[in-house]
Amino acid sequence: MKSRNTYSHTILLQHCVDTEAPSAGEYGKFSVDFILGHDPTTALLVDDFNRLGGKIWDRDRVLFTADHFAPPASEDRAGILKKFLDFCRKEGIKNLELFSGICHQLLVEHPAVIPGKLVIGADSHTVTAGALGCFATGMGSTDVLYGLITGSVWLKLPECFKITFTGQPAPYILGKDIILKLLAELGEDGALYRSLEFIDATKQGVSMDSRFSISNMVVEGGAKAGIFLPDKITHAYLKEKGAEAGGTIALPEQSVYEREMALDVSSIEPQVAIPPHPSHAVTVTDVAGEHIDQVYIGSCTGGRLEDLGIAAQLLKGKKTAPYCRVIVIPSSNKIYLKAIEKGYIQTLIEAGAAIANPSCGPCGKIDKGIIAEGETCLATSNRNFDGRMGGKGSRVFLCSTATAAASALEGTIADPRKYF
Amino acid sequence: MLKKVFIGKAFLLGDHVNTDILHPPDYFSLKKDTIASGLSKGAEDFIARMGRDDIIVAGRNFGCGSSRESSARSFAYNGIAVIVAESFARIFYRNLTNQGIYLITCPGISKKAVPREPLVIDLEKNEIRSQDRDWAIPCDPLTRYVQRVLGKGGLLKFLEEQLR
Repeated sequence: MKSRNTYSHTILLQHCVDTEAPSAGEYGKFSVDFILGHDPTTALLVDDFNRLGGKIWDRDRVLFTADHFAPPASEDRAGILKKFLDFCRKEGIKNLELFSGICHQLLVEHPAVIPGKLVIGADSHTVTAGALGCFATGMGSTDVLYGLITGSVWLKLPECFKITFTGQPAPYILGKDIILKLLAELGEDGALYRSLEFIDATKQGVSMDSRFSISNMVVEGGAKAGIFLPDKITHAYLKEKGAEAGGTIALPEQSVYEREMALDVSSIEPQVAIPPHPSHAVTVTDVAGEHIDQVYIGSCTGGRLEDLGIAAQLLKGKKTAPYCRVIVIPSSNKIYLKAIEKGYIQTLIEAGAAIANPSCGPCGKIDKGIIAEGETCLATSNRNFDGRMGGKGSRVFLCSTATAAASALEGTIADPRKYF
Repeated sequence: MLKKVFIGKAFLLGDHVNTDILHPPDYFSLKKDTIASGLSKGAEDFIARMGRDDIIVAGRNFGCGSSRESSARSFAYNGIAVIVAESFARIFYRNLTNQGIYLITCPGISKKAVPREPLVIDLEKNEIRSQDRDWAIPCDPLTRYVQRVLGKGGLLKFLEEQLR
């Protein structure tokens, strides 16, 4: 192992419960601070939990959200939701968020999620919380079941990459463009098992909303975590959300990384990931003019206040292209209410968008907005695998909200720069 | 008990096969039959072409994408005991290990093995060799923790014993 003394290792080793710290590439046992679960993946562990006669190690350190089948649109899904809710009731879960947003947004909004914490979740995009300086990682239901009962988890001490952002992004460049560009450089498995540590050395700093998108999508390069080293922007966000005390963690010195990279964000152009992988990003001009049947603005990487603001800015006083369906889903109720207050929602509705309640939406072919065989959706979500959002031969292109909004006006993939 | 040897014929798959292909989200269910029937339904149904003694030999980053454990369980419910790959996606590796399935990381295997070639996976010597031709290549040893989980038959049995 090359990596030593990194921020990720500092957090993990503070949580290690083994008498001997794990050695290179070995697993160790770590105590967890916080666990996230949502309706389908939590429902999947209920039978085993009950059979084992399990008891949750600390009910206050658990956040359960009903966001996938929110509300359910079929009998089968209603059954899954019921199983999840019955479990929450039986276990006396206080941190239950019922149809109030996407788990990854609700996780970062939770006051207990602060720098230095070890967070696990039964969903691969749990890495989002790394934007707040936590070590946050996704797992399957059985690992989370183990965590819920024992308050611990087995993890491998990962190799780490240091990625420094420099320059200053153009006003039409969002976190989504930055992460798509980075994924294209890393490749589909270029960050496999790695913990990515981001240092924001840009002039004005990358916004928290953009950071959430960046951390969220590190998993698309195979990474185990994507952590922004806490700075002024992190602490301003923590203060605003009324975070619990703590969360100050000394940044390690003389860190050694497996790899160090720098990315000058000034030169990044709007990116579009062509199917079937998020790392297949090209500059928007390479795919401009491509026909689209639907635009989806939402998900855990494109439905935050910054996104809705940009969408409203581009669509204000205009109409979306005929025949192009435009679906907007705010990532949480908090965001939704702020967007109403700021007039974004009214602007988007007047432009022709359909607004759905905060939830996962059509991503993962889950809910409203699924596309037909052979159709194309341009989406601000995070995955574009074959059939990710609908029928056979349907395609998903991924982009920022600026690109999505510009494209909604034209009915084809469009360069947002002319609108700025 | 930890198994030391697996024998079977190579069933080759490519790089970056994701969990939406291995087990599409429409097959997410709490019903065992539905989960089992979803295996490999995201693209051409390769499980239908697999022989009983075949062993999946995948390329790089096998099982990337969603953490839905239904995909891992579908392998277990279809009786798959071992998978070889150039590399595995992290969550998929954990999920299948937790189901008691042996995941063997073997860099270089997809260039060595040809379709239907009889293979011996030897976990004493940590190598994979051909029964037909004269080659053997090293595979990564299972870590101590993974051996403990697999030795118990999966994470649930491991936890059950811990709670006793």
